[in-house]
Amino acid sequence: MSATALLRAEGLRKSFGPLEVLRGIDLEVAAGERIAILGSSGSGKSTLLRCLNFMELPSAGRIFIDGERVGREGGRSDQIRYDDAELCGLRTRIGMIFQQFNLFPHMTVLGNVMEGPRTVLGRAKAEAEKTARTYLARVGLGDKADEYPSRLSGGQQQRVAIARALAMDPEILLFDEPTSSLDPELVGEVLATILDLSGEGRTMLLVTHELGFAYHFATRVLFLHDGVIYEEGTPDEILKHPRRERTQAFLSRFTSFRF
Amino acid sequence: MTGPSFDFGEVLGNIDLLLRGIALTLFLWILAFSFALAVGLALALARASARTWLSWPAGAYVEVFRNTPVLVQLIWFYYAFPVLTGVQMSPFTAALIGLCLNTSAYMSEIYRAGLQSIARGQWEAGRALGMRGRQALVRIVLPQAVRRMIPAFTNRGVELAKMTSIASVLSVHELMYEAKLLSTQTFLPLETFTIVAVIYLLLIYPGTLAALLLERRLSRRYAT
Amino acid sequence: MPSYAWDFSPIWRNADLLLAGLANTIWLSAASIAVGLAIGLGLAILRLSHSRLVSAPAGALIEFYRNTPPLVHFFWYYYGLPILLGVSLSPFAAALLALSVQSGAFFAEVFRGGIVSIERGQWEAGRALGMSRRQLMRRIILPQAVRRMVPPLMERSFEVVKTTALAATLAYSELLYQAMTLASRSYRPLETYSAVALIFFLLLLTASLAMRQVEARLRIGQP
Repeated sequence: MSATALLRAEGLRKSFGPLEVLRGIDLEVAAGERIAILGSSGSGKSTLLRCLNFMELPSAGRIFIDGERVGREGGRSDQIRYDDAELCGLRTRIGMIFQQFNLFPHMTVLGNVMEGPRTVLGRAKAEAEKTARTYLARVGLGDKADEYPSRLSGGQQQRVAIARALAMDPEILLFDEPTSSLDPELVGEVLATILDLSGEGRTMLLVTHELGFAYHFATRVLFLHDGVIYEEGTPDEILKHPRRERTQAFLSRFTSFRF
Repeated sequence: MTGPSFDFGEVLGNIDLLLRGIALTLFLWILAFSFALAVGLALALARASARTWLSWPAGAYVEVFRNTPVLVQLIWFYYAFPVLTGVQMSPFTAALIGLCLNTSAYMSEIYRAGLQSIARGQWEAGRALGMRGRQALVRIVLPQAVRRMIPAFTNRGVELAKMTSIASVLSVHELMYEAKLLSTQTFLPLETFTIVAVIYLLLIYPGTLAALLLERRLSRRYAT
Repeated sequence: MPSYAWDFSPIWRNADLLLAGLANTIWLSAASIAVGLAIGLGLAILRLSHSRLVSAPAGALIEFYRNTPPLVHFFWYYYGLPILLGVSLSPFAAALLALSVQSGAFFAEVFRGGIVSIERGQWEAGRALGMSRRQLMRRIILPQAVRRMVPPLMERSFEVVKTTALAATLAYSELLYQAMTLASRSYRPLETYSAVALIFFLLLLTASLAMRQVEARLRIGQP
């Protein structure tokens, strides 16, 4: 394992009660990589993403950011201890976009995008506003700054959510099925926005069912099955010429999909 | 001065007095609740009526009973109303009338909200099948509405149970009245009222739990 | 049946008595609501605690006061508590304690319900931005929760105002007690109680209408 990886997971496991969802994930993400994570429901793809920014605490395994271990061994029975302040700091470096957008309904669009820089990063109001407007314009919603989220379409809300995550200037962006809750005609605008970001060399991990998009967007594709990385490779390798049985079975279900 | 000594035993020794009170409390509750269900329905229908000479007084009635304290209502029926009619009522009757009319005002709101809560689509689906208005009401809307109203009715039942204690002010010999009597007889107000509070809790809490369970069952069954 | 001759003159002559009662009703209501809100907040915080040692007793206390009649507590605080404490309580103090503790129990459930009702996604979005628990509560959860809490808090306060009438049984000179005094003095129970019922009605109806206005305003801007 190279030490230049931006993000590294070793032996990552996660159980919810008796149910073991992640059964040992080893993953390295280099800066600038764009990774698409595929898999059927229950394969653990969302859980994997949520462990990377510690929205879920791993049951076992280690995660390294920039070579530095997050959390430390401590206490009895080899339990990993996580310090809340450390996790908060970490989350300013890793941004997340949710399937349900989760915009703050009691703030305007501008307020939503400003909230991170102002409250978490402690920036001055004027500076935060400037940053927010920049990123809103970036996602094409500069004119909606003073609207409340409920007035926007799903696609627009998700784009605001992307701007909100970008405003923190994170080193890594995590997308948890960003278009799965959208009406079909709104999916395109969000995917276009995400694709647009890829030109900037940002490190991104994307859990998605949009295979065509994954093909054009990703530098690497992971196929998860039963809580482990079953197969991984370039988009060509995985999506056009999958070698292993379950990957082929999964892809064959997307019959509308032709390369 | 030495600390107070508690003597729950003496109070519990007079449990028969309290049981008599409980019996009357239950009797008062059952009568008031049953009548209120009927009166409440009549009121709801009156309010929904297109005839203003029906809907307006019914509306005013509901506002009056919801915007005055229960004790004031009970006292009015016992002390003031007989002056108007020339007929003296027993404390029990006055309390029953007051509690029943009060509860019926809230019941009418429950009926109204329940019927309104059934989406228009249900009425329309019934009509689209060729049902007449009344058929749609009885076969489609009412069954659904009644299920939704049950938790609210149960909550009202709980409130009514608490209100029965106010009848003690009119000297109705229900549980609260017996409690006051007992506390002066035994000179043990602390023990008496603590025990009576617990008795009320045991009588009323199951009602609250039932309402909660009914609400949950309801939302699970009809969740989309 | 001879028609009854109404005579409201004792009412007008003793209007000051009734107004003093009204003032006391309002005073007891306001004080009970204020103290009740404070107690409710404290209880809600205890109830929301992650430690069962703290949340369970708080929950028991809340359920106890929510499922027992107010009148029992009026008598318990006035006749019973002094025995425990060794000090006697004025009717006002006993009524205030009974009302604020009981309303506190109801308020606590409103506070708790408001916070718990904010959906998970909001908590997650705030955490994902790197917010600490404190920042999350202050910036995201509480502003949304408070909005939801206002209508039920108002409803409960409304009930408190109605319940102050029970203080008449402790001989506290709020409005109903004044009415009882006047009715026996004037031998005019019909006029007295009707007038006082009307005063209560006007007071509470005004409060009712004000509440509906606030609720309507809160709904603006909500989807």
